Amino acid sequence: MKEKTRPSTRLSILIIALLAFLMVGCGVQVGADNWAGMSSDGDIVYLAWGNEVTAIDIDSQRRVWSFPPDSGAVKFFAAPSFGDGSLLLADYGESKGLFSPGVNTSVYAINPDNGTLIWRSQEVASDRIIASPLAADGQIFVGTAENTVIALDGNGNTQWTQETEHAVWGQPSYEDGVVVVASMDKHVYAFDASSGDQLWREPVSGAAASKPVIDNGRVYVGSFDAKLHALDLQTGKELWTADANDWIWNAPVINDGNIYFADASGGVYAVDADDGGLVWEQQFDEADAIEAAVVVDGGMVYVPVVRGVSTDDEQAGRIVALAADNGVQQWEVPLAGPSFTTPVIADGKLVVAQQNKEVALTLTIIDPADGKKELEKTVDEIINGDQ
Amino acid sequence: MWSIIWNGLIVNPMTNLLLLLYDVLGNNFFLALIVFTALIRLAMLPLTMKQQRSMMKTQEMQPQVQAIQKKYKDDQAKMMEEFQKIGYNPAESLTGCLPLLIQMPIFFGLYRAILYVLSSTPQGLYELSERAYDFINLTDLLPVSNRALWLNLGQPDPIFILPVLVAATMYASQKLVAPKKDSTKTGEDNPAAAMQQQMQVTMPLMFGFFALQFPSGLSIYFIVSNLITTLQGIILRRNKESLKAEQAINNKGKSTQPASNKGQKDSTGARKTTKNTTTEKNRTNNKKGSQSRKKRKRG
Repeated sequence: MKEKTRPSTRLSILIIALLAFLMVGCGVQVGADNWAGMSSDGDIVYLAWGNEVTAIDIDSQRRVWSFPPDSGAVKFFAAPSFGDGSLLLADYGESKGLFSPGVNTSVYAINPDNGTLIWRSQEVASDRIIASPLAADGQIFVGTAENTVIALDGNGNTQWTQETEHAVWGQPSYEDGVVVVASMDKHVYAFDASSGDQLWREPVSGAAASKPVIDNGRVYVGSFDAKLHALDLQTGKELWTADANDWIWNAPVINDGNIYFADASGGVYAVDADDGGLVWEQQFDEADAIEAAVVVDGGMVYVPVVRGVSTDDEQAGRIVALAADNGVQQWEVPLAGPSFTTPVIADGKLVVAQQNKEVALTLTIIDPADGKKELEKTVDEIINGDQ
Repeated sequence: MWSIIWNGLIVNPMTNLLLLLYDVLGNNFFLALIVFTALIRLAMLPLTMKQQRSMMKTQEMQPQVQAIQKKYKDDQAKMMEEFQKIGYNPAESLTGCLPLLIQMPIFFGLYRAILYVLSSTPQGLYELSERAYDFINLTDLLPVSNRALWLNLGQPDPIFILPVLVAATMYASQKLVAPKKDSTKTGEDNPAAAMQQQMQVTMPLMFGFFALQFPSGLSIYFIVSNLITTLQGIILRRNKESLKAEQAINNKGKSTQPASNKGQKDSTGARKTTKNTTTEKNRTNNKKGSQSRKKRKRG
């Protein structure tokens, strides 16, 4: 009889071990990641991706520094932003402990020259900070996935906290003592910067995942309702909307009286900032998508286009340059992987970060005049190249 | 290839079913999860009913099984032959964890589906938008509310109530269909039953432990699923008991018939006879019982 049961016992142990292995594996995946965040001060590119933020000098194509010096447990995906002589970072949080679902997220001010820590404000929120912090008039404003907007002083001390109904994924905007935030709860909020009092709350008919842009007393915000909304900064009243064909994932760009934005079906639009009238529209292939914001510089609109975004398709990407005045295509550069990160201009070059599940984060440096690739290297190769 | 099958057949349909239920049920994700679980269990009903019946049958046969095992411990072929005669399949003694195994693809698929539906990053939401079928109006549904009671359904329960409920309901559901412990038998007498009883404790503990890390939504799936299993078990057991009572009455009536007729019936239908004559009494006195049955069969 014993001989008969042994295989069964082994089978049971095997089943339990398999379940344990698979479920522990699942648990590890609970903390979802995101795409890299990138910014530039004109010469240096700051890249937030995974366990560190890396400063890369575009001219020498070398790493300047990495923060934290010893790659830590927290992750950074929000694009670094610029404070008063500092670089502001926000992380995805540190676990509160074994089996505790929450995280403690921090905001950091570091020295942009050498990456040393100036201050760290801990326990800012209990959920991820997706959006970049915004520094304005001696304050720092942070939107969190914990459905809050937080104001810190210049040293990282909390001044006020306001709630939204859902997560804030876009960087706040500021003008004349008013902080404006777009939320995934399909509303745009305005708060008094010093007191935190809510000034107005305006509904839009879709979730808003991006930064609202303020210009000339107006707030422009793209939404998943496939519309660009123009609101009055003082009252929140909707002034006009401009139609797109699909979700607008990222912030519009204002340049020379026009507003440029893109949608998730490969559409790029230029509309008049005064009345939302269409100036031009460029529609790429149906299979194309644009998630990152467009970059407008030197009379050109640079568009990071993603192809084959379906989870089962092979992903690819390309950068397309359009003339800012009429939308006519100037050049196109294929990329090894899709680019979900908004490109930046640094040292006169267009810097593009591309990544997918198989390809490591790769930086491509492109001459914006003709689209010629000057460098295409993984970030690891750039980092290891200086050792 | 595997990814296409996994996503196309498991994750994406589940993700869309959850979104559809969320839409239909007034944007209540908690309710959507409960209805989702009920629908999944309804689809699995024929399988789980069959499994539970089989478990109960195995449980009732234990006295005869043990007697045969003891008697033919040195003759495997004969033992199997005798098992066959009474309609016992040794593999069925391990079916206690079968419902769990069947649910594994559902479990892992649902795990991914919950994380997609409750996307907590732009990347997650982007993937959700790629997975949503055309008839799902994601623009209207977003953002999917992850709040219910004290829970964020995309994160583990912060006060550990759900892990305890997962373990407790799983224990109750397994206990109901597993063989009752025979105090006169040791693990050596019946290792399969001993192992099954160990599983009754270890599996709930293990799942309770994992629930500490599961998104709460997944724990809700397990709790509701276990409750349905328990309910199913109770109904089956009641039906079985009422059937037994009816048969006992019938047998009583038949006992007035001539003995030769009864003997004839037994010799042509051993399986039926052994099932009908198994009682709590012979469970504790199985050797005697089985010997008398063997005599009847031989006679």
